[in-house]
Amino acid sequence: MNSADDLYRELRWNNQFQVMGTLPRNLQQVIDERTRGSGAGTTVVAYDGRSGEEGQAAVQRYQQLVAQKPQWHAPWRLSKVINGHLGWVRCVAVEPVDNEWFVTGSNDTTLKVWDLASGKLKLTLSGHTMGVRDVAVSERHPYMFSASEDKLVKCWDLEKNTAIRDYYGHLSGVHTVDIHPTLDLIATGGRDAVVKLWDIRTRKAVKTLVGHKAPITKVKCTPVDPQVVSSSTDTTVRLWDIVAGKSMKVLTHHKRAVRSIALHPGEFSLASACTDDVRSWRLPEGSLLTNFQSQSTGVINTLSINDDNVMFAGGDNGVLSFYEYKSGHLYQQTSTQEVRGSLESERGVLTSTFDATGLRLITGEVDKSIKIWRHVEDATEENQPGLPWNPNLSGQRF
Amino acid sequence: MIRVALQRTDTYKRSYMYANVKLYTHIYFFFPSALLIVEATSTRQNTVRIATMTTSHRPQLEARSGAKAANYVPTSTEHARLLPGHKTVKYRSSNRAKLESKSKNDPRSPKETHSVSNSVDSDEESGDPEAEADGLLDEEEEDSEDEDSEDEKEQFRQELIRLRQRQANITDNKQRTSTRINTDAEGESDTKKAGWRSKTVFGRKKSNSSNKKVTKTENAGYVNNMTKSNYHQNFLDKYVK
Repeated sequence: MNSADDLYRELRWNNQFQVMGTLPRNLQQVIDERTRGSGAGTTVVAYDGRSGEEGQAAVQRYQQLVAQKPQWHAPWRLSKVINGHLGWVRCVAVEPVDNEWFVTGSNDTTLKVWDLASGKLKLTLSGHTMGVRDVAVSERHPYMFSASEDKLVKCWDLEKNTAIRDYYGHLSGVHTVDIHPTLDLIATGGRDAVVKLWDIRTRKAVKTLVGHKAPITKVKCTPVDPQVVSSSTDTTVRLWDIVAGKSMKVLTHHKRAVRSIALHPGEFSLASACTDDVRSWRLPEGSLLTNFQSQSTGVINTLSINDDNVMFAGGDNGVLSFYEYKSGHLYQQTSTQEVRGSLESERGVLTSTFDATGLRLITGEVDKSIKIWRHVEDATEENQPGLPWNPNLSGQRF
Repeated sequence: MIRVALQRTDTYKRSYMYANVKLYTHIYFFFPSALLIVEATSTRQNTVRIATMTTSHRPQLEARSGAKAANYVPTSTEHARLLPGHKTVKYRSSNRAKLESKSKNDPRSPKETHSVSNSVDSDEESGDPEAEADGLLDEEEEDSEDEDSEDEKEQFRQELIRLRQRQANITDNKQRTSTRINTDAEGESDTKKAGWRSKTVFGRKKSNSSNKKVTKTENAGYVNNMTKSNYHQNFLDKYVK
């Protein structure tokens, strides 16, 4: 009987508490009392379960993890709510050059351009006949591209404020669009499970990348190989070799539909999210970098990363999670407030982006509003430490 | 004899296939996923309509392109802006030149437009920078401190006023957008006799209760859902009921 208890205790300890940096308070109290009672002055109690070389290695790794304390970031707060759309706000993009305005696309088939500083409506663009699913503003051209469920991708001239080109060829709704940073190409993906590369100038589909088995959720372009990265509801992320027209690598780690991917603006790496699981990948080769602390986040609709290594994950149930990108540390988790006059169930983040400085976060939500989030002003590491750093051996930087 | 119409319930294409079969089991043999609907349209023959699921939900495993098909005939309609000759691409001029020209044209805009719009709070943009500089240069050195503090106070006051105005504008805008969504008609629901619709789950009762909660606040009457707005409910009452 005694030995069974011991066995259970040991198992429980090894499985659950051994790798924790700080124990639950009640457990810590018990351990404190015991150590005081026995008179053994050992403060490091977490490692007594293991022995031998394997244990040593684990201990070393754990200590390394604890030593890599994540960089502190100020917490975020809601600063502005913008109403105006008549449907879900499905996509948002900030002008990358001057950082003066941002554009949102909605299920009400319109694109709206807003002033970033004041939040005032500057322009409403209509032309699509079904909901707008993604929008991208070019850094090199005065153009904006929008993808819609009406199977069209439109190119908007920002000097004339009209649609000047249609890219027609997807067999079903288009879910995502991205602009190649150096070539005059756009990549689109949609419900027909192919990624198409279009020549901006001639409106021809240059390449059709076949391989995904389910609708594509997000496409991203990078200047060097892999030049196109796409995620899909078939739970994979594919890195494409666009010259050969094949996928270089298929990342199959996720268990559920990958709803979003995001490129880091500085580091050449990629983050991908499925339900309860966010991971980042080193890019040319696509090897796993970090498991984020995202075990009970729920369905994640959107990811965005800024220059100071803050990664934002917006949940389908309205949960906002902020991660330190390098360590995968979840430092803040809050919930959006639904706009007055909307239902509680309309809490949900559909899309997000940081502005060019990374100081503002813009989210598009189910309650038809756009919300702008900022840092809490007078936050310091002392008064706003954030969620505790509890490194886990499964979540690590490889 | 049974006439079978195979209907693809695609949103865009609707094709009927007719086949003569003797038994329904044959149909199930050929189309196991088919939904069988028997329509007795005429006395002579029974029409069996089979609604198969479309394949548009399935992924496209073969890359297909309509233009390559043998019997593809391109339409003669051409969009005015999508002519085949329109193949020029515009590029952005360098950002710096653009910024400089902007600051020349508009002296009121501060020179560091970029950094201001980037910086944390754009509401705090100061007034006319040139005027300030002039004012400082004109003052004597001894007076400058007092004058400075006076100036600062003045500036702060003006800034505060400007902020308030801006806030007022923003709230105005918000109200305008919300009023565009729903025009309010208050108190009408009380006088009217409650219809059977008000007792249903999606009836007016719900919208009323949510409105009641809202009326306390300054953003009164804003309902996110257009079909739950008072305007729409009144419209339904008037014309549809």
